[in-house]
Amino acid sequence: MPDQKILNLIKKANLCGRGGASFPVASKWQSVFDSIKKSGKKGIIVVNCSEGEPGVFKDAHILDNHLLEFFAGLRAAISFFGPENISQIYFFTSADYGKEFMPSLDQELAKKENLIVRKLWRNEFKNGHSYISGEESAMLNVIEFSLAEPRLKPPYPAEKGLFGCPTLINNLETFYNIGLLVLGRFKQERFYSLTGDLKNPGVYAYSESASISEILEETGNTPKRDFFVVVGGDMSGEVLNQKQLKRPVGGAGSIKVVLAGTDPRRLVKEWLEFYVAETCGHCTPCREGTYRLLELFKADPKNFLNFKGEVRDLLDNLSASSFCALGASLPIPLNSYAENILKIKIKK
Amino acid sequence: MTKKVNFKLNGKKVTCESGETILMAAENAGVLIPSLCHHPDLKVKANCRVCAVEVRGREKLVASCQASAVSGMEIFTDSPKATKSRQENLKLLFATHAEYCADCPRLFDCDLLRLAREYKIVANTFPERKMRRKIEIFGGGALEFNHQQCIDCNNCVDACADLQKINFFRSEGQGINKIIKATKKDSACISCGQCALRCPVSAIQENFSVTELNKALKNKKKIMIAQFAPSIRAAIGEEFGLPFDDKMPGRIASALKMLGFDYVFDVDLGADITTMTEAEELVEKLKDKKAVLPMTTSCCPAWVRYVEHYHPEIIPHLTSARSPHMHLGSLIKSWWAKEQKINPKRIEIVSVMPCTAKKFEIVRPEFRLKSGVMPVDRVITTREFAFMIKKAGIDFAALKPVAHDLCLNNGSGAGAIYGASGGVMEAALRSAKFLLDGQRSKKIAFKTVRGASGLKEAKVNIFGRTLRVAVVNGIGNIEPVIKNLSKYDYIEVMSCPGGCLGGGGQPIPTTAKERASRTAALYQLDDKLPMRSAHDNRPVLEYMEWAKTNKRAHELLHTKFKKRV
Repeated sequence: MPDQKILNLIKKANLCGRGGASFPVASKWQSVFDSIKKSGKKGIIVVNCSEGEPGVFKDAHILDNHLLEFFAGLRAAISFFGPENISQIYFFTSADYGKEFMPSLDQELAKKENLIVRKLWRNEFKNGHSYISGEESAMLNVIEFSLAEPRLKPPYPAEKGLFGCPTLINNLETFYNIGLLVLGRFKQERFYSLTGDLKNPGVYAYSESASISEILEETGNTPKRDFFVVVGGDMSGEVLNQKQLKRPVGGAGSIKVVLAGTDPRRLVKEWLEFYVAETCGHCTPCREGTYRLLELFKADPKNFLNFKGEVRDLLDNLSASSFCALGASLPIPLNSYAENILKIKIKK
Repeated sequence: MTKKVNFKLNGKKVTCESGETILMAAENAGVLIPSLCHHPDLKVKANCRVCAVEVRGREKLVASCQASAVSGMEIFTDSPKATKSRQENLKLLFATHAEYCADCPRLFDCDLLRLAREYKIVANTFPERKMRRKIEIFGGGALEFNHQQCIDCNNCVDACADLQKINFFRSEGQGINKIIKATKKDSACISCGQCALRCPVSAIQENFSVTELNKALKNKKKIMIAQFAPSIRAAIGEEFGLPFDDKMPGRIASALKMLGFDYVFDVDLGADITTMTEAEELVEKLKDKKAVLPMTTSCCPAWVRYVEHYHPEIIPHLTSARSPHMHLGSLIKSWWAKEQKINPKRIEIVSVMPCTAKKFEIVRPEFRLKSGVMPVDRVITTREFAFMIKKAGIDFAALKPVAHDLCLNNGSGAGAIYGASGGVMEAALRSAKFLLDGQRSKKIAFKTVRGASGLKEAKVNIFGRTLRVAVVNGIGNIEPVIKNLSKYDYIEVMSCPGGCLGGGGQPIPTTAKERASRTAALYQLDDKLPMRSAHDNRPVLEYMEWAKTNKRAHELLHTKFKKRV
């Protein structure tokens, strides 16, 4: 029997994954547990510390300040599945993060209470780490054979993940939150990364349900001039105007403040160039579509900003037919920027 | 019992088996969903996105090649949203595919052009982005990879890695810099052409010979001879929407004559020479206690390339018998030329083959005849042959069959089944018994070596001993046999799944369905022929005797192999 006490804590807290997709943690754990029992194979735990989204720095913040809680969360997971049911723990991050935080991770791993973690621990510090490697199935491919391309689903990682084993993939912050839960210190909070044209950038902990305006207000970051925000991730998040700030942040918990009057061409070019550089190239709409969008932009930026004709068709095609969430992400900032800031009506 | 799934397809109720993909279920219900990267022989990749369909209640479209049909689903294959997306993806793919249509074997049945018309897209919406990429000849000159035409579907990588287990290709680079690269030396590619057979846009194709051939056909000084393999007759009809019938060989001969060939011969005859040469060698080896056994076939040039590169230690096991078209070419340029009082240097022989590796085989210097000529001068694939017929405006279906020219005769039923996996084995078994004890066996059909399984094993009793035989159907199934060579006496290996009838030069598509119908066609021909065994082909025996008495056996009947690194 799994350690129901931990699962009940998670259920009661209604804890959702912190990677951006907000998947309920309890049901993910339960399905991995079920696959372990069903397949008779040992499970694998992967800590996703990929943090490839510009504007999100919470993982670095946790690695810097909260390793104790993170390891408590990891131990809770091992105890839930039973140490005999877990074969390995992969800690997946970029080479840069690996280099920077290895000494403190090592220090933590050397502690007596973490012996159980140390036995299973595998470092995966990847050079040439890319945006797509944060996508959970692409990450599994990177660990297995260095191919940063997403997998077909089903099967989902819970069922057949790393090396065909049932695999639990949770964000670093999710394990941190579970750590807080078992230590009795969880206060329904999450981390928010604040960047852009503001006074006090940084990582802050606030209530999960806090609104954008509350967070900006309380951190003393509400600009005096007109502004708008990109929330949930600088590259994949939504662009909202000042009248839309009463909602919670969502996504990977980031807020970027942009002052009104910022050149739209600069913003759009940044989004497009990012996706052209980061698309893995597996599927047509993303590999070709992002490239053609940038091409259209370079040819005639003014016309591009009407978001009509071929531009509209390519964006809609990305939302409709791209293989994974990466391709479907580009239209989110572009469409919301067009609608909420440039006041262009978009037919749904 | 599998569970049934009931769903709605474009408003109509449809039932399929549980686990079937939407694409498969729709096809069975008569609705063809277009797709480029999908091939039933390969794992699902779902990267072209052309097959995406709309499912009620889902915001994103669903890749129908990947998603299973689920009870209660309401699927729309051509809704405005699905159509729009398909148009976009086709436009995008078109801009990665440089149009070298004029000399593309698929000019007349190009999926991209067909879909462009069907979906009314402007094919040059975006400028071509791959024009600076290379065109590479590979596989010992048998194949061409035009990187300006590749739509990044990865079918070639998977055909080579998963089906053939050769792993010659790898996809490198990210995003628009993605490119398929050869990972090994050229000799490691066995030239089987299974990649070309699964390339949806002919970015990989046979090294195209039609342009040069057309020039040669206009050269009045040359005597142009075409010889066609058993598998051509089983498959050529597919190119023209014709089911197989026994008039197919006559139609082929007629078409070749119209294209300008002076003579048309049947490689079935060459197969009889191969069978007799090979069966003689087998019988000799069985009688000799010191002989190297097992003996393996060597008529598949891709298998030979595989042995020479990957397992040179197996070279002594390969039969020295020439392959059927090389036998027939040797016969034509020696015995037949002498009979007809023609200088063999004036003869140009063109083999119509289901195979890409044959393009490599014909330039192997081991085959050169004493007169200085090569037995075969050119190879065209079934696809190239169909291209020539279509380009010349010949109405293949309306052709009046003509008898092909007689060079000795047109071969036996044992020659006809050479195109099917197990056919060479069966032909040899039919004749081996005769060679061992001089008795004509009543047993003609050896059904245990037929069929589509990857590895077929049988024990056959002849001459008081049990012959342990294996038939490897597709080079991807070779490993267990190589590991256990001593378990067998005689092994047939065909590199392509299904044998030559599933060869790399055959019509597209080639899937399990086409392989099955082509197989049936060849056994049907065999059944109907009065002469079923190679040893009953008296003129063949006389020709072989002539070659031996004139001390030309090695020059005309045998060949050699060498290690390739």
